[in-house]
Amino acid sequence: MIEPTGDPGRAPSNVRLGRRMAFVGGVILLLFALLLLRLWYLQVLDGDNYLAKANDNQVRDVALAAPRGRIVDRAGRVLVDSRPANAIVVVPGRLPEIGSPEREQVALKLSRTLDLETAPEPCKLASGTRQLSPLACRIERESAALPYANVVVRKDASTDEAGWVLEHKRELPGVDVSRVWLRTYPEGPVGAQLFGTVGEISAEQLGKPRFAGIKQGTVIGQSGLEYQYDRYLRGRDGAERIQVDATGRARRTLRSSEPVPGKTLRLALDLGLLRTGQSALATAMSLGSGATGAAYIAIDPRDGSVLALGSAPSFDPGVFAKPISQSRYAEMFGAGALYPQLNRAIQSSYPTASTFKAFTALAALGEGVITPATVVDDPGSIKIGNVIFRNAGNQANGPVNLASALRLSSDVYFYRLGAKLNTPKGPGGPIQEWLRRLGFGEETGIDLPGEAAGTIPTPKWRADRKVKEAECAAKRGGPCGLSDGRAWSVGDNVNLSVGQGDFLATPLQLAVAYAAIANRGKVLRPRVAKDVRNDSGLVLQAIRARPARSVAIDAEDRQAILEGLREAAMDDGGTSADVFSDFGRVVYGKTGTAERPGQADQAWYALYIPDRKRPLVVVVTVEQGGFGAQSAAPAARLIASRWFGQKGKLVVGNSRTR
Amino acid sequence: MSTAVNPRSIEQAIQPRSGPVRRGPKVDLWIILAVVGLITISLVTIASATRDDVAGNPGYYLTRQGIYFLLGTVVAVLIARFDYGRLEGMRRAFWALLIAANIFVLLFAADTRGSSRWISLPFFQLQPSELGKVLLVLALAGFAVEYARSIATLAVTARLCAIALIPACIVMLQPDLGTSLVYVAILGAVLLTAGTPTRHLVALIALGVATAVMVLAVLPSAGINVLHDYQLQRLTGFVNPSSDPSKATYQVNQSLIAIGSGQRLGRGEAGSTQTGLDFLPEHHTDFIFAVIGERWGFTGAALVIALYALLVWRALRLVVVARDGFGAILACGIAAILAFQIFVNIGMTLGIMPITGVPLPLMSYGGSSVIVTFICLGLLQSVHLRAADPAAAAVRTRVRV
Repeated sequence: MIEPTGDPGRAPSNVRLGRRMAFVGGVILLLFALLLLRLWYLQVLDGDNYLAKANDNQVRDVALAAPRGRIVDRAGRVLVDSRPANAIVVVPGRLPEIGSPEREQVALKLSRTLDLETAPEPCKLASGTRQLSPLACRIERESAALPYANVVVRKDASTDEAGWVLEHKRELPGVDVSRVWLRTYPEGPVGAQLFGTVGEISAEQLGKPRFAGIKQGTVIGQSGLEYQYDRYLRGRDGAERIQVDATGRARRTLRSSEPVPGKTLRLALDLGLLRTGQSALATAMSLGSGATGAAYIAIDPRDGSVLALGSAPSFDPGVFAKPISQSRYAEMFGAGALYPQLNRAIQSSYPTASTFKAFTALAALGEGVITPATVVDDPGSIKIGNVIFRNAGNQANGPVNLASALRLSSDVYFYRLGAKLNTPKGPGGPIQEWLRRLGFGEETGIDLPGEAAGTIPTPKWRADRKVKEAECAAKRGGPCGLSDGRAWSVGDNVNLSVGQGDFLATPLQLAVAYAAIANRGKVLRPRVAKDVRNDSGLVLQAIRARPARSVAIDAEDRQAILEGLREAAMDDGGTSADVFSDFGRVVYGKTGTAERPGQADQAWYALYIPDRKRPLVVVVTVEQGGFGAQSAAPAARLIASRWFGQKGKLVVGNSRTR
Repeated sequence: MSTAVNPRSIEQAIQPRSGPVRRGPKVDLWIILAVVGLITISLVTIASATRDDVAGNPGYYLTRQGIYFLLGTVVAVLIARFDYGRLEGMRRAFWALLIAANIFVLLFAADTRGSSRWISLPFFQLQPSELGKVLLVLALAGFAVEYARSIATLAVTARLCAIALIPACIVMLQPDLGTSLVYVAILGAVLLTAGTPTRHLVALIALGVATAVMVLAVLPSAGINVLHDYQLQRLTGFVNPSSDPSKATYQVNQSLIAIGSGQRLGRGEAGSTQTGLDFLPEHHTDFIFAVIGERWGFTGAALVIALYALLVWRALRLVVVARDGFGAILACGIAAILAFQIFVNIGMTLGIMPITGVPLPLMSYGGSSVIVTFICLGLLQSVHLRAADPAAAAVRTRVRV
């Protein structure tokens, strides 16, 4: 045995060594106990939490975009289609932490590949202004606005760009390529406003009941038919649950539901007529110097099927596949470009001028103020109250009856009726009553969003506007321009009798009213869409107009008015006889030339061509297009020619009658 | 060195050092039990965790780790048979080797992930800083025993500190912060065992704390960076993970998720998604404990900690039963190497210690670490075989080496 004392190789004192080792052992025991406690906490107490995180790590839910349904014409010809594309998206939640240089690096690398500007510029964010590259700025802004939505960096990426991102996934945390469907428009600008546009559901839309159940990031119809029939056209996105590894590569699919493509929407529209209509508008605009816009609508007067509808100027809806800067957007779609996104056929209301005279005639005949044979002298002007109302160019037409008044477009004849039919109180007189029956002053109920209601001026309307103006002026501290403050006078009714003054209607409303005369009193609800079909062409749902309202039109009255319209279009001296006398079919047509303060005249033409199988009502208007016969009527003839299979012939009328 | 009579020669005259004290030398079976348990777990874990790591060779890491364990066992057996007492006089050679190898690494070794720690040998890459742990224990123990009589003097304490801290500084420059901290732990263990006065120890602890504060807080704010940015970030970042957006937080988060998701019984091999899908970094080296935690849950992880506790306890126990001071200091130094690395590594995977790149002994994949740990085990057995205390003999089982 070793003597503890005096053993030089040993620690000075065994007792102290023992104490020290007990201390060391105690410390180590404590540390190991600490490890066990921590282990217990992580695995047993907080294990569920970490298990959820582990699952979150490895599982990704990927939306499989469903293609939107096609829009086809009556014969099945494709008007709007979908094509697959690669979108480069940023998932903000998987980017490096906000404010870290790595996060900015991701944006920079991406910008360089996509040929975007990389120079940092001041970026205003909720948290303050920071120097960021434009892309980084966009990502921060959009992810702040919609925290869980992906930011689409490039909608239609090239194969090279998408491939590069996939190859560099490791260096680009949070960046991904997703398969998307983009709209294609084989007809380009033809019918662009009618078809409308698509876009991701906005934050505002998400809260609305119409969009209930639609997930963030879903592409929905934003205007036109795309909006109206979104629930048919929008497919149901599929979802895929995949297991991914640390680099984000998919290892296997855990669950998936297939995307369901949208249904095909078949329209009543005829593609040929649509094309002709669009080019006819362009022609009409070039005929009237300085025209700022034009619109037309062609409907079947039997059931309200919209055969063609167009607005000019138009735009190529394909441009939305690429990002557009705000200034470029303003340039392409603002005032300078004459608002090409506006569907003037249904969204703009105008005074319809002499095309209106048919309705004044209906009211007068209905009230018994005149008969078709009543002859009135037209000396070129008439004094009503203290105001002298004149014909266009002061032209004296001599004695005229209803038919010749329509043929020559005698204003004086209708001025007299307007004065006679004036009721100075409340909802106005017979003219207003007939306008309401024919559907003016309210939306026609066409299957398109954003329709304008127009205005039927009445004594009450004038008084209401005056009150509104006063309220608005008080609030704003200045005039609002809602009313000139004048009370209703007989002059208002005189102006109304020739479709001027405060009267406003859309080309669509005018077409519906002419169709009602043509079809003996059915006020139609026009329909653009015909049915919804599946891929194999099976009709899933027919789209029928709700039953039209009926208005009683006396057969003789109707005949008298049609006779006037026929003479106007066909007979010598008729305002549009130059244009239609050689058409080869009976045409009932009326020109209109609206005076608009501060602008050139607006040209109008409304026609009805009867046919046992394919009757047609067309309305054309050209903003600042001059006289009706000069630009609107020739365009209407081009459209009608196409419908009846004739050779398109541009005939410009010379009538300088309003 | 003094001209006085060498006390050791007197001692040797009284008590012959070499040769078995009793017939039938006995190894510590508890240590063997712990080691067999740990290396089995290591092999099973590496086998499943690295299956997909080397394309076309699922057994790449498993085979190599198996070879290291075999080699280690041979080395340990040889060392155990060898009388550790003979190493006492070679302390200068050990220290010189320690310094030379580490300087060589600092100057010439190949860069791996920003730090040069390796020397390429024909069979494997040797990490001298690993071997340095044993060399340092031997050098310190030799010195402490030689100066046992004047162990209470400040001069001896200072020289002991110098012996440990000079190589620690060199290792830190490589830069290998983890290993240099192991050197400091070894120094602490040696000072405690050699009999350095308590007041010296207290003073040293105070000095150490002051230095840490300087290095971590004061100097960086004055613009002087002793540690690399990433080291500082790891040391301070683990206290407040959200202030550290770098990769280190990612590693620790993934490690916590792996361990936590293991819950009580673990997720099994197929269910261990953190490991299988590569979310867990360094799953066969520094973060191997997280793999165990995920796969076998609290049950497996606690078993591993228990086996380590057994190993450390047996090593510490040798301190009081060792034949002589040299053996005692050796045992305590080795216990410190093991305990420190175990705590720092597991603590790191549990998010309570910073990331310092310290391997988990007997568990992490790597030749240098395995061989050096087996050298330590061999030394422990060598001390045990020659232990003189009857208490040690009482618990010994009769096994011939």
